[in-house]
Amino acid sequence: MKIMISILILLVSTNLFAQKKEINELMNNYLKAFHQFDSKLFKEISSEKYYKQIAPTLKTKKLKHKGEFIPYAFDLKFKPALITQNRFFVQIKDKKEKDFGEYYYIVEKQGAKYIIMDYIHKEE
Amino acid sequence: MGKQLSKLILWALIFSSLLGASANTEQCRALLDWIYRELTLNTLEQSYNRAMNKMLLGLYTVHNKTKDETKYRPQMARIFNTLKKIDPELQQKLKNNNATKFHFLGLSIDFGLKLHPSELQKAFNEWANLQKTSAELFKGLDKEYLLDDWDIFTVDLISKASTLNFTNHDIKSKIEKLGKRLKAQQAHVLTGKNFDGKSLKKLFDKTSASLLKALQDEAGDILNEYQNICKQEEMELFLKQEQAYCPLPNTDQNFLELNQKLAEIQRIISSKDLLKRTAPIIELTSKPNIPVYLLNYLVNDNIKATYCKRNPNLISMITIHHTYTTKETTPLEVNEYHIDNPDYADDPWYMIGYNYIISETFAGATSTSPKVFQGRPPEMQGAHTGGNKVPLTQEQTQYMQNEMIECGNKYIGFKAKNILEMAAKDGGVKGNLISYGISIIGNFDYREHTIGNTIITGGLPPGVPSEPNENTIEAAAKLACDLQKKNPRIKTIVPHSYWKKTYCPGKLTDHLHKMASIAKELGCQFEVKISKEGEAK
Repeated sequence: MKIMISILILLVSTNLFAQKKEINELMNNYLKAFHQFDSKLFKEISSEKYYKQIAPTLKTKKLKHKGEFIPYAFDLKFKPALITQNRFFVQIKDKKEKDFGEYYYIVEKQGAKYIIMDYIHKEE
Repeated sequence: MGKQLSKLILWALIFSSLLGASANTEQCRALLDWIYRELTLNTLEQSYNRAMNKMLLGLYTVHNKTKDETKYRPQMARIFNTLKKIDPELQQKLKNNNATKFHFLGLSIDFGLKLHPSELQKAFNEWANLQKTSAELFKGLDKEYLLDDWDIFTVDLISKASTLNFTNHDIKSKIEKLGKRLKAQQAHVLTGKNFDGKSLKKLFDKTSASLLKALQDEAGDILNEYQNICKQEEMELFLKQEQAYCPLPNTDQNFLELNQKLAEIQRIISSKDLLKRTAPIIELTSKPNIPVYLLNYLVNDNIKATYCKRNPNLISMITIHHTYTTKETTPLEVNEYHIDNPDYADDPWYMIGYNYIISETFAGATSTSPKVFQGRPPEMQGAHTGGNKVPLTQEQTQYMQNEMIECGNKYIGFKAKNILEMAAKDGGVKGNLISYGISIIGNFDYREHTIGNTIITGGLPPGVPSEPNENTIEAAAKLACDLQKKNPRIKTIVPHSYWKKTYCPGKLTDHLHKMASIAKELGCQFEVKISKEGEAK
C-alpha cells in the first residue's frame, strides 16, 4: 500500500514538475515575444483573440526595439482550474516584486502545446 | 425534417417581423407567444379532450346536485345551452343514454344552431363564467376538475386558429388537420359515454395524463429547438436560467392583456413543472434606456459553492469594473474564469461575480453599439468589491430594519442573517451587498511595468490597454439610469478602487463623471465618489 501511494505521489510530482517546466518556457517565450515584438512567436504561443488584441501594439512598437532579449528568472505560480480540464491560472512576477499582483494569465494545454488564452482580473 | 423546416420558417417569420423593433423586448414577447402557441398547438387534441371531459364531469356533478331542486333550473338551462352549442345532437344523445337519467325538466331548448369554433369558445367561456358566478353548483368537485385558463386558451386557439397568420404551408396544413379531427370529435362528444362520476373521473385522469405527457414531450422539443435554431442566449434564458428578467415596455396598448397572458403562461409552465426550472420572472417595466440581454451561464455545482440572496431594493451604489481581459472575451468565458479560479478552492464561486457585463464584441455587439448582459441576478449578492466594509448611513440603517440576507445553496440550504446585526458585529457592510457590479469587458490599465529588461504596458501581465470607448461609457450610463429608475436609492457610482487597493477599472475611473452626466441627460442623478471620505484620491 505504502509503495502504491509513493508511486502515486511520485507520478503526480513528476507531472507537476513537467507542467511547471513547460509553462515556465511558455511564459519566457511570451516575454521574449513581447520584448522583441515578435508577432510570429506571439502567434504560436497565444490564442487568436489574445493575438488580435496585442497585434496592433506589436506592429506600432516594432521600431522601438530595446536590444537583445536577456532571459531572466521570474517567479511563476500556476494552479489548475477548478472545473475546466487542461486550464491553468498562471501568475508571473519580477523577482524584485513582492507579490504576484491581481491578474492571472489563462493558459490551456491544447494537445501537447500550452497556449496563453486570455488574462483576467482577480475579483473578490 | 418537415417539422424542423417549418419551425425554422416560423422563426424566420418571427424574427423578420421584429427587425427594427426593440430587440430584447420584442424577442421576449415573440418567445413567450411562441411557447404558448407551440405547447397548445401541438397538444391541441389532448387539451381539448381534457377540457371536454372536465365539462362532462362538471355537468354530472351539478346535475346530481340540482336535479331535485327547481331553483337551479335556470342555471341548468344555461349549462345545457352551453353544451348544446358544442354538440347540437346533445339532446338526442342524452335521451338515448339511459344510464344518466338526465332530465331537463321540460326546459325550452333552442336547437338548430350551426356549430362554429367561435361558438365553442363562447360555450367554454360561459361554462368557466358559470364556475365563477355559481360556485355553489360546483361545490364538492375537485379543483382540478374545474375549467382552468389552459382550457380556455385551448378553445381560444381553436377559435382563432383560422385567423392566425401562418403563411407557412406545413403549419397551415397542420392546423387544418387538427381542425378536421376536432370537428369529427365534436360530433361524437358524448356518444357512448355513461354519466357516472367514476368513469368520468377515470376518463378525465387519463386525458389529463395524456396531455401532461404530450406537453412534457413538446416542452422537451422546444428546449431542443432553442439549442438548434435559436443561437441568441437571451432567448434560452426564459427556459433555463433561474430568476431571469424579461423587461417589457408599457407603451403597448394591450399592456394589460399581454401582462395577463404572460403571467398565465408562466403559471402554466410553473404549475405543470414542464421545464423543471424555476419559472422566469417577467417584469413589466417602463421602456429601458438600454436592453439587458440574459445569458445561460454555467453555474458551479460544487457543494461548497454558495451564494447569498438579498433584497435588491437595499442596493444604493454602482461599482464600475473592467474585466482585464481581451475585448473578445465573452461574458460566458468570464463566468468560467470566475468559477474556475483555483485560489478560491476552499470557497468556490457559484457563478460570475459581476451583476452586469458590457461587451463591444459579444452576440452582435460592436464598438458603436455595445450590449449589456446580465451577470448575477439582482437578487444575488455580487462578488466583485472585495471584503472591505463600509459603515451604514442613517438612511441605510433605517431601510435595512429587519432585512435579512440568506446564504447557502441547494445542497446545504440557506441560512438567514439579519443585516443590521451583521453590520453591527462586522463594523459595516460589504460593497458586494449594497452595490451592483458593472464590468466593462476589456483592459483599461495604462500603467507600464518592467520585467527584466522588458517594458510592458497595460498592467501586469501585459494586456495592451484600450482607451475607453464613448459608446460603452454611454451604455454604462444608460444601464445605471435604468437601475436607478427601478430603485431610486441607487445614487452613487464608484470605481472598484473605492472599495480596495486596486488599479481596476484603470482609465475608466476618469470617465465616471462623464457617465453621471450622460445619466443626468436621461433624467437620473448620480454622485461620483472616487475614494472613501478621508482617503487619499
